[in-house]
Amino acid sequence: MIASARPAGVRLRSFAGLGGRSLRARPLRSGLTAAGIVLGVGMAFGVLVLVATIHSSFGSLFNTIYGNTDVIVSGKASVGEVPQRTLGQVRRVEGVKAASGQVMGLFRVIGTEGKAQTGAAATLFVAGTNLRGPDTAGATLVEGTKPRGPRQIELEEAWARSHGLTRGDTIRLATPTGEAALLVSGIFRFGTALDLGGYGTAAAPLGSVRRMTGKATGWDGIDVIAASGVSAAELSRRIRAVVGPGIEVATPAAKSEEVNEAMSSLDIVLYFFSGMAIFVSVFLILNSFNMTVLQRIREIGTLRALGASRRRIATSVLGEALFLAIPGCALGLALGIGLAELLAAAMRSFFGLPIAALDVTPGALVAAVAIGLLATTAGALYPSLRAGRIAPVRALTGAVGSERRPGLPRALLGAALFLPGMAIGGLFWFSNASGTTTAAIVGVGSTLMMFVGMVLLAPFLVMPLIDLLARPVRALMPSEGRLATDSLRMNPLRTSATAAALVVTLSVVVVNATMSASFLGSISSQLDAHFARDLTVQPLGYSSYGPPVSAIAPSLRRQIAALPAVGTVTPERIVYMRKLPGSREPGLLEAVEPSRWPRVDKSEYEGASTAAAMAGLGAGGAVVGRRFAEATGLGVGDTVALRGAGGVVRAPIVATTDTFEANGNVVMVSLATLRRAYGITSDSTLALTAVSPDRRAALARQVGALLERRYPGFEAVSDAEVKKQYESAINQQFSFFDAIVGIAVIVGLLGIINTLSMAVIERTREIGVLRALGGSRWRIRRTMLTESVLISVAGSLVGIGLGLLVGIVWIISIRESTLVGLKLGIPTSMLIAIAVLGVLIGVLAAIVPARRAARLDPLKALTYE
Amino acid sequence: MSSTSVRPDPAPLLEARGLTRAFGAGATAVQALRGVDLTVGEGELVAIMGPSGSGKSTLLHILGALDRPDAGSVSIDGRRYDDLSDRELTRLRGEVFGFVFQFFNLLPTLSAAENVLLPALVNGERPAGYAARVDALLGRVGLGDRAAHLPTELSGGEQQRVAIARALLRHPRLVLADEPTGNLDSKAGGSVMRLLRSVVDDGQTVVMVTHDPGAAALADRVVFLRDGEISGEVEGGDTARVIDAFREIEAGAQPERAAA
Ligand SMILES: Nc1ncnc2c1ncn2[C@@H]1O[C@H](COP(=O)(O)OP(=O)(O)OP(=O)(O)O)[C@@H](O)[C@H]1O
Ligand SMILES: [Mg+2]
Repeated sequence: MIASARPAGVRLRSFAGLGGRSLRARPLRSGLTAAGIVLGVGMAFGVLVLVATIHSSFGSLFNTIYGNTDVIVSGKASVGEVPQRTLGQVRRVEGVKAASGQVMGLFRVIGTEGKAQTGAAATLFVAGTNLRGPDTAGATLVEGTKPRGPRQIELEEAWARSHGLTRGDTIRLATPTGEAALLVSGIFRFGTALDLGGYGTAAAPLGSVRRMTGKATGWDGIDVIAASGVSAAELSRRIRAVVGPGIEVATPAAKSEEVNEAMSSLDIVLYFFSGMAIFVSVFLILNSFNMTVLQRIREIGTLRALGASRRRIATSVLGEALFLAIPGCALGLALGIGLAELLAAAMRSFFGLPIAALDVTPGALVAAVAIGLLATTAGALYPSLRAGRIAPVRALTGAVGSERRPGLPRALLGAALFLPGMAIGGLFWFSNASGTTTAAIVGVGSTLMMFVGMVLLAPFLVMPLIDLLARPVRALMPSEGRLATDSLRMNPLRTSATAAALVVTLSVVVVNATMSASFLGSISSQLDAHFARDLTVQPLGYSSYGPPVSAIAPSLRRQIAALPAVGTVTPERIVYMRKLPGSREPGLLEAVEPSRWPRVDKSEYEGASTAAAMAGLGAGGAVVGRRFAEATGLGVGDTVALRGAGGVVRAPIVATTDTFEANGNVVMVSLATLRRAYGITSDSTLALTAVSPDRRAALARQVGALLERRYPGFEAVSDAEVKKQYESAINQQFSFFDAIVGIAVIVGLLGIINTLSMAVIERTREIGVLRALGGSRWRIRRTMLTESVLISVAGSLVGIGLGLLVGIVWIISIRESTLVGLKLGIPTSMLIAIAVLGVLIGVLAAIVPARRAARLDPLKALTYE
Repeated sequence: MSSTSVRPDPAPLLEARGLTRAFGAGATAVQALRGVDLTVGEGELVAIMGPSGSGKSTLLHILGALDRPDAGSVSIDGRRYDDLSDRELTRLRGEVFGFVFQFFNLLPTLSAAENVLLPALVNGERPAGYAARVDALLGRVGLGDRAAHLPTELSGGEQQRVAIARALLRHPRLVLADEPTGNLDSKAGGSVMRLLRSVVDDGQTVVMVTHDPGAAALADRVVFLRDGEISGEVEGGDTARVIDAFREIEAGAQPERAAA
C-alpha cells in the first residue's frame, strides 16, 4: 500500500483544500472577485508600465541624440536662445576639444494633397549644424551622404523607413518661412536605438535651417566634446565660469534627468487615478469575503468545534483570497499591457509626448503583483479575522441577529477625514496645477483621506436615499418593492460598501467635470471680455500644454502686415517655464508689443491703467498674474529678475492682472525684454485686426489665402475656434483621467452583481414562496432589477452630490485664494449622463442575478436550508 | 444485571459543579441550566435524558467546551477548563473531545469520507495516515459504500451516522453525543449504540443525550435533567427500569413545579 494513498472518497489533501471547495461552491462570487483583482492589477500594471515607458523614453532621449556630446550649453531648462558669441567663449575654454552650435526647427510633413499634416508622425525636428564639424550626435550614416547643399537633408533611419523615404527622395516640409522641398541625401542611425513615439529627427546644414526657421542668430544649444582627460563635470565647471548666469551647462544625462523630473508630478497624478481601481477592488474583495464568511458561519463554527484554531480559520479564508489573487494577477498583467498601450497612444495624441514602445520592466511586474496581493490581503483581512472570531457555538445557532448598524463613531471619523481632505485637496490639485512633487503628494494624500471619509460616510447618505427612492417603488409594486428594498436595508454596511465604489469613482468624474466646466466657462468668458482681435494666426496643432509646435518667423508677420485688409498684427510670444523667474511654480512667460497690444486685448490691470501698464512694459517692466504675486510675495514696485541665456534683466513690476491662463502664474513683459533676457525672436501666435470692422471677412480671406499658398504649417482661426481649441484641450486632459477612472467604475459594477447574487441566495425562500403563490419569472426578475437600480442610482446620486460638493468647494477655495473671478460651472449634461450611467449600471448588474433568481425551482427554493 | 456494582468506582474523568447558563436578558431571559452537578468516570457511558427544553444540549455544549457556563465549573482530570483561553480550549476540543451535533453539522461541500476525516485535517494532519481508519468507521456505521457521497445525497439518518464516525476518528477520550440515535430506526440506532458501547469498552468515555429509553438503557448510568436541574439518576442496563424512573421523575417533578 502506498503511503500517500488517501482514504476512499477523499480528494482533499489538507485543510487548505477546504478553501478551494468553498470557492468552487460559489463560482459567480469567486469569478467576480477575481475579475475585480484582474481590473485592479491591470490598471496598476498598465500605469506602472506607462510611467516606466515615459521615463525610459525621456531618460534615454538626450543620451541618444547627444551620443558623442559631453556637455550641452543651453538656456536654463532649455528656454530661449544662447547668444551667438557664447560659441566662441566656449571654444576658448581649456579642455574643450570641439564645440558645435545648433539651431533646431520643428517642421511638418506636407502630404500628397499639399496640406501640412498634424500629429507626432508628421512632425520632424531638424537640427541645423555645421555638418563638416565634429559629430556630436554619434550618428552613423547608413545610406547616402551628408547633406551637401542648402536644399538637402538627412533623416533618421526608423522615421524615414516608416514614411517610406529613402536616399534620393524629396521630402516636402512646412517651415516657419514657408514650404520647403528637400532632397534626402542620406539616412543616419543613432548610436543607440531611438523611439520618439513617432516624432522624427533629421539634420541639415546650419545655414539652411537658419533660413527655414528665420532664426538669424543665436543657438538653441551648443554641444561640447571634452578633450581627453577632462571630465564632463570639470569641463562644465570651467564653461559655467565664462558663460552668463542664465545659461545652463549640463551633461546629456543631467538634461534627461531634468526632463524626467518634470514628468514626475504627472506620475503621481497617474498613480492616483489608477489607485482608484485598486481602492475599489479592495471593497469588492472585502464585500465578497464578508458575504462568504456570513454564509459559512455554521460551517466555521463546526470547524472550531472540531478543534480548528482561530488562526487556522483566519489563514484559510485569507488563503482563499490569495488563491483567487493568483489567476487575478496573471490576467491582470495581460490586461495591463493592453491598457498601457491604450494610455500611451492617448498620451501621444492628447499631449504630444514622445512616448516610445512599451517598456515592461521587471520592477513594474513585481510591483503590480505585489499591489494585487496587498490589495487582496487588505480586502480579505477583516473578513478573515471576523471568521477567526466565530465562536464554536455558532455551529449550533448559525447566523443570528442582523448586521451591525453603522454608528456615530463611524460618522464622526468619516467627517473628520472627509472635511479636511476636501479643504486641502483642491488647492494642491488645481491651484498649482502640475506643480511640485511635494504639492502633488500632499494633494494625493489629502484627496485619499477625503475618499476614505466618503466611504465611511456612505451608509449615512446611501441608506436614507434608498429609503426615499424605495417609497415610490413600494407604492407602485407593493410586494416586489418590499422584497427589493428589504435586503438592501437589512444589510446597511454591505449595501453602502457596494454603493461606495460608485460613490467614490463617480464623484471623481463629477469633480473633474465641475472643474473643467468652471475653467472652460471662465476662460471662455475671459476671452470674450479680453479678446479684441479679429483673427489669430497660429501654428497647426497649437494648444496650451499641447504637443510642441513650430514657432512663427518674423517674415510671416511682415507678409501679413503687408496685406491690405490688415489693420494691426501683433505677436504674442509665450514660453512655458517649469519655474517662473523668482518663483518655484511653473507658469507662462508672455511677451507682447506694448504699443500695439491694447488694440487686440482689452484686459484691465490692477495697480495701473492700461496705458500706464503698457508704458511700463515698454520701459522694461513686467505685469504679473495674481498667483505669481502670491507665490512669490512680489507686488507692484518690486522687481522680478529674468535670468536668461541672453543676460539678466531686472523688470520692475508695474501692474498685476487676473488671468486664468496657467492659473494666474503668469509674467508678462515686452518683446524687447524677452529678447534681451532670453534671446527669443520667434512668435508663438499673431493677433490680427482688420483695418475696419467691415473688412473682417476680407481679412480672414486674405490671410487664409496667404497661409494656404505659402505657409501650410499655420492656420488662421476665429475667436470661436480659439475657444473650441481650449475646450478640446481641457476636455482631452480630463477625459484621459476619466477613462482611467472608468476601469474603477467597472469594478463597482461587478460589486453590485456580487451583492445582488448574495441577496438572491438570502431570499431563496421568499422567492420560492412568491413563485409558489403564482409569481411569474418576470416578476422575480423585476424585483432584482429594482433592487439593482436602487443601489446603483443611490450610489451614483450620492457620488454626484459629493462630487458637486467637492467641486464647488474647490472652485470657491481656488477663487478665494488665487483665481479671482473664476466662475463656478455646473456640468449639467455630464451630471445627466452620470445619472443615466447609474441606471444603466444597475440594469447591467441585474442581468445575471435576475436570471438566477427567476430560474430558481420553486420546490427547491422552498426546501432551501 | 448489576455490571456497574461489581465494577470498582471509576476514577472521575469529568466533573461539573454548579453549572448555570441563561440565554437572553430581561423579561425574555431563559434559564437553561440552574446549578447542575455531574461527575463522569473514565470509561463510563452516561446517558442524559429529559424533556425537550430541559437544558440537555446546553449542558453537553458546556461539557464539550463549545460554550461557557455563567457560573460553576467544569474540569477534566481535575483541571478546570471553563476559564481557559480560547487557544487552550481549541486544543482541548481538537485533542480530547469528540462531538456529535444534534443537527449533524456536516460540511456540505465535503463527501462523507472527507467529513469523517475533517478532525484530522483541522488538526493539521495528512489524510494518508487515516485511510484505514476512515474506511473502518464508515463500515462500522454501515456507510462503507457511500464514502464519496455529499451530505445532500444522504438521508438524515445517514448524515447522523457520518457525524458519529467523524466524532470518533481520532479516538477522543471523551465523546459527547447529542441525540446520536434521534433520526435512526431501531436497527440503525441499535448498531450506533453498539458502536458507542464498544468505544467505551476500549477505554473511552461517552456522554450522550437521548430521548430513547431503549438507547439510554445501554448506558452505565442515566442522568435525568428537568428545567435545568438534575432531578435523578438511575443505573442503566434495563429498559423497563429506565422508563419507570423517567416516569417517576416526570410525575414527581409535577407537584414540585406546581408548588414553586
Ligand atoms: N442560543 C439560545 N438562545 C436563547 N435560548 C436558548 C438558546 N439555546 C437554548 N436556549 C433555550 O434554553 C433552553 C434549553 O435548551 P436546550 O437546547 O439545552 O434544550 P434540550 O434539552 O436540548 O431540548 P431538546 O430536547 O428539544 O433538544 C430552551 O428553553 C431553549 O429555548
Ligand atoms: Mg437538544
